[in-house]
Amino acid sequence: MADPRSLSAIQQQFADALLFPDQSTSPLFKSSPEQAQERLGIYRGNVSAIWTQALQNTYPVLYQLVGAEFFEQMAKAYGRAHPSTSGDLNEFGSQLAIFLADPITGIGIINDYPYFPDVANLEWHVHTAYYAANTAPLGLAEVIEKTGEHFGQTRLRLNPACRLITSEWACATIWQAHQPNTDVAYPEQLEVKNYYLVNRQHWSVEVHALGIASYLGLLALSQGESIGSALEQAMEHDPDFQIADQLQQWFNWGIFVESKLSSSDERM
Amino acid sequence: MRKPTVNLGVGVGLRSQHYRDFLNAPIAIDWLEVHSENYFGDGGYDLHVLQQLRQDYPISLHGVGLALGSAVGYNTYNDAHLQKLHHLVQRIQPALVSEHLCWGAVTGRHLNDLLPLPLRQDALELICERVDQIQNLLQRSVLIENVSTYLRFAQDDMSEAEFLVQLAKRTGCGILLDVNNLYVNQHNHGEDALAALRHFSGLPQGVIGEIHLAGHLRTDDCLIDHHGCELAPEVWDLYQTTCSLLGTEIPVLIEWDTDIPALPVLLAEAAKATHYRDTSRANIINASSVINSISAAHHG
Repeated sequence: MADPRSLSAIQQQFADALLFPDQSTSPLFKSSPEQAQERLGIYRGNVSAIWTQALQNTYPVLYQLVGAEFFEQMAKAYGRAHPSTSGDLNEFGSQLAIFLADPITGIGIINDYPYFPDVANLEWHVHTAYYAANTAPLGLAEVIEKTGEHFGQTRLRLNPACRLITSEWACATIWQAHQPNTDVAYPEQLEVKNYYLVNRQHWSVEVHALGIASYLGLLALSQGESIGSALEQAMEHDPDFQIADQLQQWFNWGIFVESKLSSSDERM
Repeated sequence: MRKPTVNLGVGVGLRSQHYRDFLNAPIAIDWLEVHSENYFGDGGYDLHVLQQLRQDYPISLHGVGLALGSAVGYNTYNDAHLQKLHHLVQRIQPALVSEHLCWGAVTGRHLNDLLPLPLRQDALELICERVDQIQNLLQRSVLIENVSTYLRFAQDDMSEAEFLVQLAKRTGCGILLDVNNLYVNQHNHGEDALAALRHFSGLPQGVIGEIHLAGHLRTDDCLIDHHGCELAPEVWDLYQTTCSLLGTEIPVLIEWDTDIPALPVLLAEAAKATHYRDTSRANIINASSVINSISAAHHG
């Protein structure tokens, strides 16, 4: 066994005393045992306050859905089950959707609120999109002008803030309904298959609900397929897919960014 | 590695609640400090604001996440963290870079808090190694800050001030002196804040590279360093003593992190710090003119 007076042993004892107060012996402090317990209590309070605050910053919609008290309990259970692995608290919440989906560690939340994991997943993507690299959006007219007759063979680079997500639940609508000054109402039916896009054009992150054909087209583009091939896949699913309107919509959302445009003709 | 301190003047911690104020109009403040980790993203609004404001205000990057004294897992947690800090330093070209004298992680878990370090020789060796590594990476001197604690270890064999002075001598790093933390630790552990200041006053000029001032919360048992109110009168008094012992030219910062008020409240605290510096400076000048006139009379 390691020397109990070593730095690593003292720090491990300290950490255990914060997390498992009933099963641990504290390191030797200058304070009396009673005072030491009281002072350790301050650090224990800090630990859960830090977890709650970090998750609240990342998951404001979930916070509104469950309220302060439940959120704090959830943060405590999450912090124990999924230890922070970074000194940057912006990364702390990365496993929350997994935690909520787990019937055991997720304190049974999934049974009563089966859509919470997907709401958390969406909010995590919104959070990471918020910090993604800034990029200049590409316009449709510009691509047409640059590629001419090779437009169909052209591949596009997606904005690094862009995420394509599916869910069995109406998460995009739930998210939109909880934004400040929204005119979107909370969905009447929750169990609806959803396809949506998370993106950031300027500084605020946007969430757009997509039709399945539009989703499939964008998914193909995100996987490096050409515009022609992506549109074909959308058409295959929905013969009434409005190509011109949808293309314009995608470009208006700022999904594509400046890069060396490449066509499949140039493929190595 | 240490460079002579530039007298940055009086600054405040920049928090997102005040971005709009700073972007809308010039604010009468000398410099700004941010928590480095909040700007680790590849892009986004926070970094954009910082890049805008750095054109008008010197910036200090104050880290809260390295947990410098963690005996185990330090590299696992910090390889990427240090790269992000390095990148941010290159982007922002800050006037100051700082971190805390603390630990915060064990195997498999980061505690994301500034936990008290055993004040012993082995901890000093460890911190020296890590400060060397950071200064080599960043190619500049960093400042290490004394922290508020609620516990001290039975086996401590030096004061925090002695620890920091040794660290500065061995690594060439500077010290970020938090006057409120000195006061909080004096109250919580019966330590002597004045003795700490006297110890620091023996250092060459420039080693104390920055001063922090903040509010604390008084409970029945102890003082809690919550950065959520105005400074206590006793901390202002201690700042005055700091000015007379260490000089009035050390950059000083008002920190406020919980229940963040409107910007004018923060600026009023900064104005108070300016007042203390000016008064102390005037006293020093008066004292030296008295000495000069006495000595002139003596020789005359």
